[in-house]
Amino acid sequence: MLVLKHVYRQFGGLMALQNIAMHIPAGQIVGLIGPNGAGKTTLINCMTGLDHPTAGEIEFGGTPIQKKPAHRITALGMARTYQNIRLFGEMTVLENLVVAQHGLGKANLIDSLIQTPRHRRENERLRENGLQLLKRFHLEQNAAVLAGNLPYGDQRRLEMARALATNPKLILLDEPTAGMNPVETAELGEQILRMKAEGKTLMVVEHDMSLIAQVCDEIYVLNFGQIIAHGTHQEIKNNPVVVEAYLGQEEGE
Amino acid sequence: MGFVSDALASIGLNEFVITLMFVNAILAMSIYLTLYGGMFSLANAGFMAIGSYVSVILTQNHDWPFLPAILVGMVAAGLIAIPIGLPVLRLRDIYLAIATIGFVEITRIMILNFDKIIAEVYTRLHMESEPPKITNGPLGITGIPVETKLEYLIVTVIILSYFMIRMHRSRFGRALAAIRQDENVAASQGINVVYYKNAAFILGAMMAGLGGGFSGHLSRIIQPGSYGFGTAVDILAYSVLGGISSWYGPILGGLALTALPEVLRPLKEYTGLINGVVLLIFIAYLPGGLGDPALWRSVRKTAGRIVNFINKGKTANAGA
Repeated sequence: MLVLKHVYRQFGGLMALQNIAMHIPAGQIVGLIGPNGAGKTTLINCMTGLDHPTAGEIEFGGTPIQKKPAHRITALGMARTYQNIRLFGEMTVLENLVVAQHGLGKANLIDSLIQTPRHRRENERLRENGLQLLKRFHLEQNAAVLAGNLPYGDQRRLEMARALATNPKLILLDEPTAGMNPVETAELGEQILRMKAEGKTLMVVEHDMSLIAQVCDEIYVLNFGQIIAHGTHQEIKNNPVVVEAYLGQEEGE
Repeated sequence: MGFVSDALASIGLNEFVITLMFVNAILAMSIYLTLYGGMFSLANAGFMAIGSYVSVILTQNHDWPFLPAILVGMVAAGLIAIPIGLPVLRLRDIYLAIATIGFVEITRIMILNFDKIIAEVYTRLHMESEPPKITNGPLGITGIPVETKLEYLIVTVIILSYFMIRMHRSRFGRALAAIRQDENVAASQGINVVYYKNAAFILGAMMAGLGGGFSGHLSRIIQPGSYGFGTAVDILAYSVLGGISSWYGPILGGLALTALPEVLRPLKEYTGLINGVVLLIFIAYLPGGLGDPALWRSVRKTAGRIVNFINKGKTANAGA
C-alpha cells in the first residue's frame, strides 16, 4: 500500500532521515518504534505531505506522493493522528468530525454562501456520519462539547475518530497511547484491531511495547534517522542491535 | 421616522454620519472574512481605494450609472486580489500584516502617480495625443455627486450578513475555521488551504472594494491620502472593537466607532482623548468586543434581573 524507497530528509546539516526503505502491505498493521529524536514524526510528516523528503520516492497505492500537498494525499486515502493532540479546540466534537469529512463533500463557494438544498443535504449526511463515528468511539454524549474542553483520553479517541472520518485506506497513528493508562491502552488496541478487521491498513508509531506486541504484524525500528531493524515482534525483541539502541535502555532503567 | 432621525441628529448623528457608519460597517465586515480564516491581512484599505477610484472614474469620466460602476469597482478589487493573495498569503501573523500594509502603500502611491505613469507610457510610445488625467494625483477627484444612499447600504449590509450567517455553517466556513485553528491539520483533513485562504482574501477584497465605491460617492472628493496606513488601522479597529467572535461584531464595531467621535463632538478638544480612552477600555475589559456573544448573554441576564426586581417591587407595592 505504501512504499518508501531511498527516502532522505535533511534539515540544514542534520540528516533527519537517511535512506529509508519501508513497505506497509495492505491490510496489515505495521509498527514503527525508536528512541526519542529518531525521526519518527519527521517520517510521518513526509508520508502525509506536511513535510517533503529531500530525496527519494514514496508511493501510495502506486501513485508517487513525495511532492504532493497534504490535502491531495488525504484525498488519495491517507489519514493520521498527532503525537501532541491537535484537535480543532474551538469547534464542538461533532464539528471536528464534520470538518474532517471536507474531502467527501462537494459544496462549492456559492452553495456555501446561500446554503442551497444540495448543501443542506450534504451537511445532514456528514453530521450523520459524524454521529456514527462518535457512537463507535463512545463520545456521542459529548457531541456538542467544545473539543478543547474534553478530558484527555476522550481527545485521543476523538483524534482517531477524526482520522477515520476522512474515509482512509491507510491510517498513521503517531503515539496514540501517550498519556493513557493501561486499561485505556488495551481498549485502544481493540479499536485498532477493529479497524484492521474492517480492511484498513495501519501504521502505529509507539513507545508502548505492549500495544506494539498486541496489534502489530511487523515492526520497523528507527534510530538516528535510519532503519536499523525490521521483523516481527519476536525477531525485534531478540535483535541485539535493537536491544542496544532502544529496548536495552528501557531494561536498564 | 422623522422623530427618530431628529433624535439621532440631536446627538450628532445626522443622515451623512449614519450613512458613513454603514459604509464603515461594510469595511469592517470585509476584514472579518480574512480574520475568520486566521489571516491578519490589512490589505483592505488598498482594495477600498481601488473600488473607490474605479467606480468614481466610471461615473465621473465615463458617465456610468452608479450601481454598475460600484459593482465594477468591486470586481476590480477582487481581480487585483488574485495576484496579490497567491504570494502574500504564504506569510503568517505579523509578517502578513506588514506585507499587506506594503500593498496598501503601493496602491496609494500608484494612484498618486497614475497620471505620470500614463504620460510616460504616451511619450515612450511616441503618441501624439495629450495623455489623459485620470486620478489627478494628490489633488484627487473632486465634485463627485453624492449618490450613496442609506437604503442601498442597509440592503447591502443585510445581504452580506446573510452570506456571513450562511458561511459559518457551510463547508467553506468550516474550512476557514479549521485553517484558523491549525493550518497543517486542516490540510491533513483534506482542506486545500491555499484555495480557501485565497478565496476568503478575494471575497474580502470585493467587499472592501464595494465599501470603497460607496464611500467614494459619499464624500464628494477622493484623494490617495485617504486610503493609507491610517485607514488600514481604522478598519482593523472596527473589527477589534466589535470583536470577531460573531459575524455581527464587526458591524457593531464599524457603526460604533464611526458614531463615537460625532457623539463626542460637543466635548470639542477632548473628543480625540475620550475616543482613545473608550477604545482602550474596550480592549482592556471587553477583549471579545461589542459582538461577543458572552457579553450579550450577560446583558440579557442583567436585564432579566432588573425586570424581575421591578416586577417584585410592583407586586410588593400592590400587596401593600
